[in-house]
Amino acid sequence: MESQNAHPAAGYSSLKMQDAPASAVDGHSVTKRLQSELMQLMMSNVPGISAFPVSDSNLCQWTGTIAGPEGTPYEGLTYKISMTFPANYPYRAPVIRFVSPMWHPNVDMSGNICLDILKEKWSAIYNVQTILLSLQSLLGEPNNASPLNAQAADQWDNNKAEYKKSLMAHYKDIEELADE
Amino acid sequence: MDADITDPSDWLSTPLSSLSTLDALLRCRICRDLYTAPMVTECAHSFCSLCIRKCIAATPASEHPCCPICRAAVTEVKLRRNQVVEEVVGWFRAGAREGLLSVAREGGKGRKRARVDDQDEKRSEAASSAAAEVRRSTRARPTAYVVSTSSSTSLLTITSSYQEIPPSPEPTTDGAYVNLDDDDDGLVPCPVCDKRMTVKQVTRHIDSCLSLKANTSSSSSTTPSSSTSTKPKTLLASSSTTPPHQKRLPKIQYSMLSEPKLRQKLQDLKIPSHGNKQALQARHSEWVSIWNANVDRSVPRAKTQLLRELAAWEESLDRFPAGSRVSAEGLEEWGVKHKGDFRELIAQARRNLPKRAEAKAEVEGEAELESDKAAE
Ligand SMILES: [Zn+2]
Ligand SMILES: [Zn+2]
Repeated sequence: MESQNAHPAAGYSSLKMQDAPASAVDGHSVTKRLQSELMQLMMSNVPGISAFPVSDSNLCQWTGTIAGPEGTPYEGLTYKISMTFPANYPYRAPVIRFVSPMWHPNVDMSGNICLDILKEKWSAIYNVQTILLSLQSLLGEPNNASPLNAQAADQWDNNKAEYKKSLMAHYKDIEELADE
Repeated sequence: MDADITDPSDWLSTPLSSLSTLDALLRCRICRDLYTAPMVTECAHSFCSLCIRKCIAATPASEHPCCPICRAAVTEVKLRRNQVVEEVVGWFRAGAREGLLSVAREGGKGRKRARVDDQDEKRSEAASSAAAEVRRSTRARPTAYVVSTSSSTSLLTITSSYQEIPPSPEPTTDGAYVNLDDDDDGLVPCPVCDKRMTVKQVTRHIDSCLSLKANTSSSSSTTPSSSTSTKPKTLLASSSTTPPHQKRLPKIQYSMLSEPKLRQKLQDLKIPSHGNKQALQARHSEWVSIWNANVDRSVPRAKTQLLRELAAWEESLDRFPAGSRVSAEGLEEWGVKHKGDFRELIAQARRNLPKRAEAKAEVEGEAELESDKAAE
């Protein structure tokens, strides 16, 4: 894109940017919205989910964890996900991937997720917290009508013991993922 | 960076915890901030003008724009200003929130411990029921959160300290009335006759101008009472809510426009016109949203201010990945650029956290801690 080569201020030379504090122009920015979400996550402390920007300096790239819901094959396991926010977030959904290897009908072996609210059913009022909770519930309630992992879907429907075995064979403890 | 992120949870550790509900109700669900120029949709939901306009603009051409909360169809021209909410938010933002919060924090010292424990319980209840709500719901709808943390909290005794609340300033009359037009002579054109005059003059002039025009154009007509029908359409459409000199910008069918034609449009609007067609289209669309949302403000801002907003938006494009194209290098660069900002944010979040932790702890010197904080 041509505009990326240009300095961001290109074409705005008539403006004296230093006149305006960032807060005056930044009221509806993606940055501010993400800051607010981070604040909410820290304050509300919902058990079983967590999310945080990857580094002290990077607000468009987050990492999160999801604890497997009780009473599902995922109970007691914790999964790591990555979240990448586009410039037009929240009008567009973030890109979410499982970083932990995941055995699930709606997740492929690269961690890509098939979930309607992350695609065509996205809404600008959804947020990190609602995404994490939706993913958590997806673990216990797969949509087997259109699976990304057909074998997992088949096992889920027909052989839960086999399902659990495959799941554990693929599972990696979150500590082992530290370098990835 | 804006260091001042407020949140409905700010109230939870105070005796005025039920104000958390009011605080949440005065926030736009899209940007999570207090409403700016709130607009009500056909389905009776409210959003900041800019937020809902950008939401509509971001809808793919193949789909019909819908309400982010209930998915009912929304039409941009049917948005209406939510005047009362705007006034309440204006009052809240202008100082009432801060004043009440400081009174609440001050007044909460004595019975803080009991209250906060109570609240903590409520909070976790709220969180788990919200979680349950999401789990229960079908995958299509992680039924968004209604932030109603404390529904039944006993009504707060607002003590005599209430009088200490600083009087809130008049809702933003300070922002001197602005010239939205391109020319910088401080004058605006009459929407009827295009004669240039001050804003005050326009409001007085416009009635006489209209009746004059009605008279001349109805000279062929036999009924002078038909004057209303000769009012320009644009004026009729917006006269109830918007000062007549602030015209909304029309949307453009970008696919129908060649790159040079589109570039010319941007030049005509006197906004930056560099970049390829995709960049031009994105910038024009953003400008239309910013401009039209500004028209919805009871006190619109100057065009230079809007240009700054556009520049800030353009800068955020460089900081965040475009759509699904995410380059690792870009992320690195972004990190270096915004290191300072982020530290500040974390520090701020940490400053807020101890409020809960310390309230739980059985600390004798709690009052001192609190007064330290109040002194900040
Ligand atoms: Zn908003
Ligand atoms: Zn609605």
